[in-house]
Amino acid sequence: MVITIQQLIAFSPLLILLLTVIIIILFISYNRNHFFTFLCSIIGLTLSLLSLHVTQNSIPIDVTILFHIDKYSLFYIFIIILSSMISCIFSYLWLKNCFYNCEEFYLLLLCSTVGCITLVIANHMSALFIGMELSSLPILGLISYTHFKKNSLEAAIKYMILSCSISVLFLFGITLIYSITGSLTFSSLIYELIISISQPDCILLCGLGLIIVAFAFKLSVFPFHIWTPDVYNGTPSAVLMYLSTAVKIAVFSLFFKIFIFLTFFHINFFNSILEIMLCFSIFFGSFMALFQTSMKRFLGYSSIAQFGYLFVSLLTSNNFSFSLETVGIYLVSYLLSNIGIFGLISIMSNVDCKFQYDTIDFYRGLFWRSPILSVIMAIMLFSLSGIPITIGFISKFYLLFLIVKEHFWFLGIAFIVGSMVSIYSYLRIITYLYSEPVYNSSTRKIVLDENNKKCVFILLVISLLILILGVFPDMIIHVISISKPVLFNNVIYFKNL
Amino acid sequence: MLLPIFIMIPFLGGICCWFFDQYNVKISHYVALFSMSIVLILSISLLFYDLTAYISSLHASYWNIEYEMSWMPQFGITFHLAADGLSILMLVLTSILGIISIFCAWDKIKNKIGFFYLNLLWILSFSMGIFLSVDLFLFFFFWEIVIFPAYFLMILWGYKVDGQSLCLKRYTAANKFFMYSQCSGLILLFSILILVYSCYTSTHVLSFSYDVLHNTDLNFFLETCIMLGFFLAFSIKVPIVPFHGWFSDFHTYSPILGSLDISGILLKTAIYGLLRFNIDLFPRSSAIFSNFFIFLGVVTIFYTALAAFSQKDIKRLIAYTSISHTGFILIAIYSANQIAYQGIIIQIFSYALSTSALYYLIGQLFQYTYTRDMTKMGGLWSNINWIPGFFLFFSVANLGMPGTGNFVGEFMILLGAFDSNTLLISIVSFSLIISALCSLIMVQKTFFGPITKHNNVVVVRNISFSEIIILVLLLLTLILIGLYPSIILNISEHPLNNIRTIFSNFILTTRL
Repeated sequence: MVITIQQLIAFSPLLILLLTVIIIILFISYNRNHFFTFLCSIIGLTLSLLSLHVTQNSIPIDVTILFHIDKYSLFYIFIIILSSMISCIFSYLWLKNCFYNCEEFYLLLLCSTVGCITLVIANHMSALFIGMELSSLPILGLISYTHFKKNSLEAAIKYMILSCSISVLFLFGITLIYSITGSLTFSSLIYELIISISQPDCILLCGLGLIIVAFAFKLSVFPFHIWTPDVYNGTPSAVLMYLSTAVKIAVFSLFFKIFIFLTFFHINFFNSILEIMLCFSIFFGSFMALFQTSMKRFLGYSSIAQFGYLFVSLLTSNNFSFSLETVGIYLVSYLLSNIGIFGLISIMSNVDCKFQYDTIDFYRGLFWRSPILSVIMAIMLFSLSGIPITIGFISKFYLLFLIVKEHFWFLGIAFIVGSMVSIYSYLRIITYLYSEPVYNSSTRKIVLDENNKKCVFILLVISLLILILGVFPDMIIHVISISKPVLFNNVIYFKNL
Repeated sequence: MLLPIFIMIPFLGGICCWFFDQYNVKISHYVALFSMSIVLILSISLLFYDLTAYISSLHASYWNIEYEMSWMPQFGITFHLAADGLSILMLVLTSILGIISIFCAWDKIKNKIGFFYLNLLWILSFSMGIFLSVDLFLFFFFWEIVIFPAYFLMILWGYKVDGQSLCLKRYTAANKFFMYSQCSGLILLFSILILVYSCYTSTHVLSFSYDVLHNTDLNFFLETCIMLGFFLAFSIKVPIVPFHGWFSDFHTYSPILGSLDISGILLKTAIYGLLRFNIDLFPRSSAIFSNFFIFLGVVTIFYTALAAFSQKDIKRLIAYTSISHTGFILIAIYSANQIAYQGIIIQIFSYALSTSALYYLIGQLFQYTYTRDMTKMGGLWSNINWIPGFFLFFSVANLGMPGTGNFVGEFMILLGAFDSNTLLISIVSFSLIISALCSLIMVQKTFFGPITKHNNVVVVRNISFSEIIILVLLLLTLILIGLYPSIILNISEHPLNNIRTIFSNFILTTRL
């Protein structure tokens, strides 16, 4: 097998990250230095971000049989690296205060990033499996990083057991597909689907169903959502910032790329399954979020609902480019607001170690204690609930337009009811922010030190970005609309056959 | 370029107020006043524009002044502002009420005055956006965004009485307002999208522009669905009886100025929306449902007038009576009669002025008595100068005394609508008795009778000169409209007539 220079260049973001991982391993074994490790990982991430610019010229390209890189994947690699970079910065502060073995944190984070990127560019079932495992196994380490806390260990064990059992099912699904197609590439799977379009093979569909289960687990959609609130509750917020954005976005980008075909060829079975999953996760997520008292649990439930909404984009009939834009803008808005809100919780945990910073009660009267933080938080919550002048609104607008375009009247009603309920639950927190503080202990002003101020600055930039993109979404829509996966062309080609 | 200025000046003025607050509070007062005065002068100067020169054809654009800029080209969304006589009158009303509310706030609001002005001016700016925008997306954008400043006005400066339970009630009321508004917004967005998409399927033009959507061919079922969606969205904000739950709570707990803004401006946006979009875009299905809507209006009038009786809180009482006035407007809109349509604009103007004056006076009263409960007041007439007299005048104006603008509006509506729906209008006339009783009871309980023992008025003081000036100006305006309504009628005649003629054609065909 010959690998050309072109392929190596296209592969460079991943290679740079791998190199960084090795350098960090060497540093840890010779001389532990927290700041230096942090710097090294940031530099590695930045370099790989910059290398995307070089990569741009040599795509679309196949790197061996396993990977396929096109503009679509570049866009999502960009998002993933961005998310992991910001998570690094926020976790630096958090780690600096409390731990003696901080360096491994970056190692695990970068490993998981490599896994996510592998997922995005996968073109083969084995790459898909490796990416899936590589992105989620280091997360176990990250979740249990605060293993001395009660919830944390519970969360890690829960996530591990469920994740491993789902992986087994996933492998089984892959074998079922292999038994029919005799090959593990995505294109052979699609080819098999197309030639048996009138009477799809039962075993093939079973295999696909199992793969959907695995994806649904990672995205925490309805029947497989049970781990979400508990794991969210026990995970440190800096980790959660990464877990809820990078991993989920990577998984969804691949999910979208593969499963758009199922709806395209009108395999009704999958359509109705997706619809049921979608409706239930919208209702379940938004209704359960109403009754939460812990901030992290609340965000966990709300993310269930968020991905429920996003599943609407999988149900399109033939205009892919629109649902592609929908997915892109939705994921960007999800990324920005989730990073913002978890970053805020992370800053809070740095400020007041002895308070219960993840209860909603803690945020009562935040406006009177620190106006800037409360404004940032309000913007994030408004964006999550999809209210105008935030990018969240633009994504909601896209979804509604998609629903109208495809005449999903039933889903439209579910959408309206679900978003009413979730707006109410976000609003509850926003009202808390502005109400007068009740407890004497929490009435004093929040004082931030120099490093925390920098983090607040980052959050401020993100919230400004949310507002600017909300008013002028053109810039981001343009980028999304040109980053189409190459598979799309194949679809149109096959359809014409 | 003239039209964006109406939105920009209050918007930037609000930011300036917030900014200067840190240096000197006095500056932010003057900045707010200055920016609203400019807007008022500009909007009045628009009145002298040549408003008669336009083509009254259906297909040509019939706006007097236009401003267009590309915004989101892939959806065909433009930043399209336009004005005709109706919008200009609304602008004038908004800026007058804006100036009144700035005067109200002048020495009442003590904490965070800059942020208060920011919210106040943004409400004004966004509602001007609602009155000016003719792109449906832009309209929706302003429609949603105007909620935030109102919401923050309420939760930060709302009706404060010591005790945690009341404080929580205030938040509940604010949330109720927000949720109702969001409901209305979501339904509106959904119907707009259906309309735009069905226009797209028939003509292959993806556009949110009012002028384009105006000529969409819809099948009857779809048109009815979209029309009902629009109607539902607007009627939540008007409010009409089954959806009025948020209104009285909002008034109870909002600051005086907040309720002045809500009743004066935000309610008018929904009426404007009904006139501009519901009637104009879907004349056929509106005509078929018109009797039903008129019936809803009648129910609203009677229900709220009766509910007003049982109120102890003065502000709640006025809130209920103002819902009942919007019932009249609803009847007028769906009666499709020329005289009734002229009455609408008079009714909007004069009720906005009289109710805001009443709210203003209640704000004054509250300063002396520290209560809004009517059972705890009484016998104030001899204790306080000036206020009771003005209060008497405005509450009499509110019940529709001849000689005031309110009488003209109510009279024109009843006269015009009598033609088309004789029975219902005869019934409605009886509601005048109830509303008269309401006003009289309000005045009687507050100012006359023995002084109750709860009453803790000690200081009898003259109100300041500037306050008297405002009240006298309001009073003179009301009398002026009452005696010489043509000043408004001349301006509003053309645009309202345009809307009416389309609608009445359909009414005639459906009734035949």
